[in-house]
Amino acid sequence: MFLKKISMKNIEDLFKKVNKESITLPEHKNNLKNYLLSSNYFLKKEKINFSDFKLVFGSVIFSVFILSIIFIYFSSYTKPQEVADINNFEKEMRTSETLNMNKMLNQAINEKETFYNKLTKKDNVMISQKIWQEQEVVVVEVLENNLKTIYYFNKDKNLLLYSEVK
Amino acid sequence: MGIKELVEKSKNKDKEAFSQLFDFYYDKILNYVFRRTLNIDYAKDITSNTFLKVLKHLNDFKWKTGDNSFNAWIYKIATNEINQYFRKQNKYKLIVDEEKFKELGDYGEAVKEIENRLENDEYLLVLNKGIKQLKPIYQDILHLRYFEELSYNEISKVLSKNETTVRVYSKRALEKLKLILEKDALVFKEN
Repeated sequence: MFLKKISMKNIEDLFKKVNKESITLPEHKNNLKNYLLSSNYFLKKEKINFSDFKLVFGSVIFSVFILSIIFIYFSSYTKPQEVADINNFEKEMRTSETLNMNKMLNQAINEKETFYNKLTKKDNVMISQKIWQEQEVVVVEVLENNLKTIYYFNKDKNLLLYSEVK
Repeated sequence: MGIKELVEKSKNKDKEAFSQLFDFYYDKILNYVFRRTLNIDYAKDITSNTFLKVLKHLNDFKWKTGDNSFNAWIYKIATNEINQYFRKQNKYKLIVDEEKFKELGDYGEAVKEIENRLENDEYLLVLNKGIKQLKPIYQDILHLRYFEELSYNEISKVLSKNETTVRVYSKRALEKLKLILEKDALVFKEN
């Protein structure tokens, strides 16, 4: 006979009426236990003691030390390409300096020529050539305000060698 | 020796302690699994796999939630195995190696006796038929609460749910079970 309407209590009672007596499988139990006890888990006793930690800690420190040395070595090592770049840069600097000096010299020479030209354009100027201190020179005598200034240029007229006022 | 001590000694590879721990839990787990599956062969396999996993992960176990942590932990493993079995059904396999699996042997008489007892346990059959129509989480809760008699606190740890949620789910599960049993007229009237 069945109940059409049931209460929550009926349901809970139903659970209580289930046979709670344990089923047993002694053979399976023993076999499984033996299988588990013979497993690798029980083969070696892994006791972690302080010496293990010391070993691991030592290894870690040593590895860090080696890695630091490698890092420092590679960070200070100048690669061939970098050496070439440095050399090129120095070469360029030297070339640049040489060019600058030449430029300055030419400028100076131009200034001397300009100075000669300026002198010779003035009035009361007398130009002559003579031997002065065993070399051929161009002498420019300029008379201004009753003072005579004598300029000695090299024969190319681009270098002022000496000047005097009389 | 208490469970806590047995567990700690087992963690330190103490065979005797593990043997006692196994004896204490074997019947509980086997019966829990059997009441869920009603299949003695699968109950053996699931119980075996549960204990293999217990041993495999024993060192990872921690007493996070008090002294009943281990009880909840072992039921959690068993429940996971049962749910795997329900998902995979015929594809569910033992994880022992084949040679030793043979050693686990057959025991015809014991199995026959259990099967006979099951056939005569109408209440279990009626309840199981109804429970199997519920959501898996409701099935877990009803079995753990009413057959295994775990506290709501322990069930919450087994299922990784809040205790209040477990209480609510338990009530809903009973209500749904009641409707199923009424619908199918599966409840016997007391004589």
